[in-house]
Amino acid sequence: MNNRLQELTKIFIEVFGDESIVLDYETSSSDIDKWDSLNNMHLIVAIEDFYKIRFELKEIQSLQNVGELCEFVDKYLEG
Amino acid sequence: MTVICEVLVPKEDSDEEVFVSDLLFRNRDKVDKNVGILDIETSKAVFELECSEEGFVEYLVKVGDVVEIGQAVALIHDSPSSIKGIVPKKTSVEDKEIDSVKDIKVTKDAQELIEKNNLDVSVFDSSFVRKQDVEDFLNKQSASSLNEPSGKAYVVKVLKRSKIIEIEALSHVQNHGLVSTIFMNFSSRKLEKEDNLFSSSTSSFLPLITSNVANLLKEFPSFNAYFFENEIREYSSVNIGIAIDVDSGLKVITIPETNMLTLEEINNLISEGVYKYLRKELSPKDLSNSTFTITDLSQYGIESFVPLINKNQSSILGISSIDPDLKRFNVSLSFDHRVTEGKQASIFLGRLKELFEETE
Repeated sequence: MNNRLQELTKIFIEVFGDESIVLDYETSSSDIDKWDSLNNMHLIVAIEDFYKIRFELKEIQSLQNVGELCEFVDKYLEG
Repeated sequence: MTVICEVLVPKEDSDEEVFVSDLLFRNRDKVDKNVGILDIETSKAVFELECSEEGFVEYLVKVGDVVEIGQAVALIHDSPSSIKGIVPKKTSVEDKEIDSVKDIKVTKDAQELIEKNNLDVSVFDSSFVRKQDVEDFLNKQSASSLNEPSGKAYVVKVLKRSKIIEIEALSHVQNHGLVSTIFMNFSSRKLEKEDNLFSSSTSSFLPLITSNVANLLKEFPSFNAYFFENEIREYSSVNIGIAIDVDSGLKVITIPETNMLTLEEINNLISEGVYKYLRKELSPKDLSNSTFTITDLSQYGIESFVPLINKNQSSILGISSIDPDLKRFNVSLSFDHRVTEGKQASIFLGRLKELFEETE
């Protein structure tokens, strides 16, 4: 598994409190039961804190799946 | 050796006083220009006060003080030597040295014990507090709790200022009003998650309900109003507040002129508000002037609940969790009977249900 995907999986597990979460590039919000508006924002904050970056909310809200999230984080870390 | 500038408490909202919740430096520390030097708390938010000049800080207040708008809370000096020591909250001194908090002197050991037990130094009668005094106080407190008539020991937890303010705000209508609550089930059959990751609309109907309520409040102005000295005051604007309470206490995030916004704009403002809440970046402006409140507890698996009406409002809407088997969720409306009545509340909630189920 790609490192980025592994890191994000750990973050997702922590935010949702669910050890059974397994992410792949196609995972979207509909695949995770506890994904609600509050956890949604908790997740964004947790990802930002982990990578020490700040997203533009509008940009991150347009992402379709975890694959796009991995690319998005890569872009922020490079940039 | 002079004072370069004073740091004053600005008027951020309707509060006349603010609460000093943290000092971010030690007395005589060097501070840069435009850096936050202390946290103050209004009834709506916690925010940092910055100094406008670089220099050495002298605090004029201590944590826990309630200070008036316009009052000076710190001075910025051009030299540390011109600061006559007071309130060195985080001063590291030797054991036998003393820490002076206004008129009360506290030894370092005593200060550590005071902080560890979350005590306010003002509970001590003496103007010089030693470790022994704090231990005596704690023993007395412990013995006192054990001697309660019920015979049950308890731990005393001091309420945060924000909680006290919350209690005051929520007590007002509940204590003085005529509060009633009605309930209605809404269908969630058509509610499906969108195929994207971080849009808050993916799993929440809060933005849609907020939008529907905003449109209805112009039609039902008594729910966008409040009771004041035998008058009903209807607000000219519709500013829906979204109640949120996770780790940082109850806050109501205001969506100004909600009825003028698109669903997408409402969705974005709610997301932004929740984000700022989690980041503790809400300003008083984000939390002021709401005219109606929605509280969404749908994440917590509850069937229904009675929401409490905020001060200077006549009603509040509560959203409960979806029943996955029955494909529905409960919506409750608490209202002040002095401003409106059950029939109107039922019509309002019925209209909301129609709108929601049509547009869902």
